[in-house]
Amino acid sequence: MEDIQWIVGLQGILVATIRLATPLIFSGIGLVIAEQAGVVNIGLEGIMLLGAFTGWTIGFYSGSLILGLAAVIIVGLISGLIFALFTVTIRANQIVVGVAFNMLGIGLSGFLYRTLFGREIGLLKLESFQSIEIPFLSNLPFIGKILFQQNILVYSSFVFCLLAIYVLYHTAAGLAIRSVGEHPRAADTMGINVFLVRYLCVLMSGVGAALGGAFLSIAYTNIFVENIVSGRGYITLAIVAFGRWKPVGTLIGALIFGLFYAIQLNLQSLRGIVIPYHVFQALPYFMTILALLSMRGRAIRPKALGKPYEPSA
Amino acid sequence: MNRIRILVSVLIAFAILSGCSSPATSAAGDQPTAGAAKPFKVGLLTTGPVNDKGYNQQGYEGLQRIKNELGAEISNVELEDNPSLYEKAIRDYASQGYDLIMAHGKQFQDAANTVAPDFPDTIISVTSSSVAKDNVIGVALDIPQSFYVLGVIAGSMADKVGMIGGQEIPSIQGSFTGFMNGARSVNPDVEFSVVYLGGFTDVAGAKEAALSMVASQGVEFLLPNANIASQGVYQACAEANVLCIGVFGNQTDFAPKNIVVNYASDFGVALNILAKQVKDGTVVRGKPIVLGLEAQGVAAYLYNENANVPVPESARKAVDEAKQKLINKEVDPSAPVTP
Repeated sequence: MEDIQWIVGLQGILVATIRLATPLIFSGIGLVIAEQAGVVNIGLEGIMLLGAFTGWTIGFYSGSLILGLAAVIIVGLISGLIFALFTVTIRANQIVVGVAFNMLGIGLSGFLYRTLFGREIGLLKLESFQSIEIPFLSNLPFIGKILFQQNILVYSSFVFCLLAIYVLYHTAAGLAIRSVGEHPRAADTMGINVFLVRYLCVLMSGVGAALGGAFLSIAYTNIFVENIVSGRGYITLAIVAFGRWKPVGTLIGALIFGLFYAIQLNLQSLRGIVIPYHVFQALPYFMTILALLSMRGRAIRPKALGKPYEPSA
Repeated sequence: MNRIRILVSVLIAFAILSGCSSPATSAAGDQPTAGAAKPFKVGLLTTGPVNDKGYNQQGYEGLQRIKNELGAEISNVELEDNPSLYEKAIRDYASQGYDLIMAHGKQFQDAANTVAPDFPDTIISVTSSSVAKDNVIGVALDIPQSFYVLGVIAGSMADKVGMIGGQEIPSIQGSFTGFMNGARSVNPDVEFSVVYLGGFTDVAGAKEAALSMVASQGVEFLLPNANIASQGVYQACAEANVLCIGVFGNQTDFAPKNIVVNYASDFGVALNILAKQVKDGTVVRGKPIVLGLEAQGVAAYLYNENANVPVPESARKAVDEAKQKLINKEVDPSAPVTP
C-alpha cells in the first residue's frame, strides 16, 4: 500500500514537471536558435508577457483559442522584428535592448489589460486548452499519464524542440545559422546573408517566448494577471546556458528546473518539517547554479554571441 | 554611434513611460455645501482609482455613507502609487481644517506619523494598520478571528486541509493560525499542509501547488491567501474537484461547484464606525480600531448553496457558536498551533 502511494506521488511530481517545464521549453528553444546565430535576446520576459496577454485577450474576445494562438505568433514575430531591428540593423547593445523589452512587456501588457478590462482583475476567464489523451499511448502504465495526457501546447513544445534539432544540425540552413554565430565574417564571405539569418533566428526566439507566455494564460490557467510570467523569462537565460546553447541540453535543463520546482512544492507541503520554506523555494535556482558551475571551462558558446556584425570593416 | 544611443534612449524612455500605467492624479470631490456653523469635514486619500471594485472602492463607498449617514462634508483625492505625494496630501487636508483624514492604505503610515504632531486636533486614520499613536489611528480588521470561522467550516468538512499563501508575512501567517485553530476546535485530528509561493502574481505556480497538495498529500479542502495568485488555487480546485474557500470577495464564479463559502470583508464599514466616533467625540486617541466579528457588516460569510457539497447545517451552527465565542473572547484565534 505504501509503495502504491509512493508511485502515485512520484507520478504526480513528474506530471507537474512537464507542465512547469513547458513555458521554459518554448522560450528556451527559441533563445537557443537566436543565440546559435549570435544574438542574445534577454528580453524574453517581456515578450512572454506580451504573448500571455495577447493569447488571452484574443482568445477571450473571439472565443477561439486557435485565433488567440495565431495572434500570439504574430506578436512574437513583431517583437522579434523590433528586437532584430535594434540589435542587428542598428547594432545597439543587445543587453540594453533586452532590458528595455522586459520593461516594455511588463508595462504594456499591464497597461493594455487595465485599459481594456478596467480594474476588474481576474473577473474574466476563458475556456482554456484541455488535455488531449493520445489514444493507446495514454493508457500506458505510469508514463501514459505523464507524457500523453497533456494539452496541445505541451506536445507542441516538444515538437518545437525536435524541429529546432532537425533544422540546426541536419540542414544547410542550420549550418548557415551556426556559422553566423561562430564567425559571421567567414559566413559572409561564403555568401551567407548574415543579417537575414540573424533576423529569422531572432524572429523564432520571439515566437518561442510569446508561445511560452501564452501557455501560462490560455493553457495552464485561464486568466491573465499582471506579471503572470513571474520571472520565467530570466530563468530561461540560465537554462539555455545550462544546456550549452543546444536544444537537447536546454530541454533537459527545463525539465530539471520543472522537476525541482515540483519537488520543492511537495517538500513544503509535507507536515512537520521545520526548515524555512525559502530553502525549498531556492532549491530549483540553487540546482541550476550548481549545474552551471559543474560545466564551466569548455568554450561551447557561439563565439560571436552578443557581438553585432558590421559588414564592411 | 550617436544614432544608436539616441534610438536606444528613445526605446528605453518608451519602455519606462509605458511602465507608468497607473492613471494620472485626479482630484475629484464634492463641493463643500454651506451648512451648520461648524461642519464635520472628512477627507479620503487613496493610492489608486476609487472605481477598482476592490479596496479603494470600499473606501470611497464608506466615504459616501459617512456623508449620507453623518451629514459630513466630504472630499477625496486619488494619488498615484507615489509615496512622495502622501505627506503633502495629508497636510493639505489638515490645514484646511478637516476633522478626519482617512488615509486608505498602510502605505500612508509614515506620512501620517510625520504630519500628525503639527495638527493635534485632526484625527488621521490609516486603513489596514493596527498601530496607533495619539491622533494617528489604525483601522484594521481582525484577520485571525475572521479566518478562525473559516477554519470551523473546513474542519467540519475535511480531515486533510491545505493552505496556500503568497508570502510568509504577518497578515497571512495570522490568517493561517486563526484558520488552523478554528479547524482544530471542531476536528482535533485535522491535518494541515502549507505552501508559500514566494510572490503574489504566479497564478500557474499557485495552481501547481494546489494540484500537488491534492495529488501527493490527499488534501480535500483548500484555503488560498495570495491576492491575485489565489485564482490559480480556485482553478486547481475545479480541476481536481476538491472543496475550497473564496477569500476577500465573492469568488464563486471561478469554481462554482467547489467553493463552499466566500469570506468578504468591507473596509468601508470600518471607516464609517471610526467617523461616527470622531463626530461624537468618543474616539480614543492612541488606540487602534481592530474590528472583529462583533462589528456588524464588516465581515460576511457567503455560503454557496450550489456547491457539490454545500456547507452542512451542523457546520453552520458551529460557525454561529464560534462567532459568539470569538466575540465573547472565550477562544484565542492567535493561539500557537502546529500544522
